[in-house]
Amino acid sequence: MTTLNSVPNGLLSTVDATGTLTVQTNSVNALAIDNNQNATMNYISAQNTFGFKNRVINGAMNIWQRGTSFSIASGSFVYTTDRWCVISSVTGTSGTVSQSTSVPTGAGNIFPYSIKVQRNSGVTATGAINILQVVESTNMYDLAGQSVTLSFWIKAGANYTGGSINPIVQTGTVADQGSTNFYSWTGTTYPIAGNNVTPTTTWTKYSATGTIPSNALELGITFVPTGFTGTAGADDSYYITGVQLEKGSIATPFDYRDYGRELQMCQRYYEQDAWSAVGVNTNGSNINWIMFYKVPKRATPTLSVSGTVTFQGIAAGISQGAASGNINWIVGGTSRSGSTYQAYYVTSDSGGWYSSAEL
Amino acid sequence: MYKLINITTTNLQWVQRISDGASIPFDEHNTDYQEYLKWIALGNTPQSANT
Repeated sequence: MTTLNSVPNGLLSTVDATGTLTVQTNSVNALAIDNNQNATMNYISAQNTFGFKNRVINGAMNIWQRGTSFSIASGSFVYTTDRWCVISSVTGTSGTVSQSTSVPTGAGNIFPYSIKVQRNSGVTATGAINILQVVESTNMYDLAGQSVTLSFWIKAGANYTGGSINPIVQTGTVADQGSTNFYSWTGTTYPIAGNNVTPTTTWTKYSATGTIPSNALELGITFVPTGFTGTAGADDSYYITGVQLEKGSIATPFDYRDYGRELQMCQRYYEQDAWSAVGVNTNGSNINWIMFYKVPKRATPTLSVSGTVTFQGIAAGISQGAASGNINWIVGGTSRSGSTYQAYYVTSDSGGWYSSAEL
Repeated sequence: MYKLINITTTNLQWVQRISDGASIPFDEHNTDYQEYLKWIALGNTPQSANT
């Protein structure tokens, strides 16, 4: 090996017998170029990144299919902004999670919204409101045995009392045990934990690094405040956006994904729409109709329905609905007489359908 | 609390969660169905199926 240049601060360039050029910074190999001009680099940090490095879906809090404000009751897992679940230990219905336009500013920050996690003004009950996201196992298997870095932006509301916040990456040894079982996963470990941050009223970016166990088959991310204290003021909240989990030991710029693709990624887990379709009278009294999902679901989803539907001037109550297979579902309407197998189209409707295949 | 649903005209069967009326499929990957199975394992019995 021949040294081409060596200067203080660990900067070194060398060439070996095969003609490979190696550059070190801080005494660590950073770049190698072989005699076929193939370059190998430890990290690339650029504003226009290669994309899809972020294992967190909706890390920019851009997708809000279910609505933009949610009341949070103690002990219930509530999905809010897409893919993000909330669990509260504050007694009663004492919390609100909502979309906020408060976001970091400056070059390279592309977050449209943040998630605002609030203890309601005047509440004296104490406890914590955690947010969490479970990464589908099939999207994390390659992280086993690897270093990962979690990065995020956070700020406190003007009256925040929740104390420091513990950003946690949790793993388990059974695939896809989900969010409602998050605190009882089998084989739980915490590759990232205890790097508590104390949010201020100024947006600040933090990161933490850990190593995923080689036998990990599931992974989740959660933010756990120490706990609210005293009587809540007008903005006893914390705000988070720009959440990213990536391979490697440094936090690179946030992985921008366009709105359409991020929405599709979210719709693998949840999708909703208004009633709008053509139905078929299958037995002289009920109208059934089939709707196809925009995105096939992770699993056969749980279906909820609301509202009313009118088929060509005749109201049809929504009696039942269920998923059938993974790409469509059927709902039976009622109070509709007519010829069997005759098609009717929806002329007015309210409410809609809601399909969840969340973890 | 849950209720079994069986719609013979469409050959559809599912579990209805009574608290919100949601229809839960018999899919072991569905987390709501997993919760239903845990409820059954505790010795509970769903309301019988209608037809």
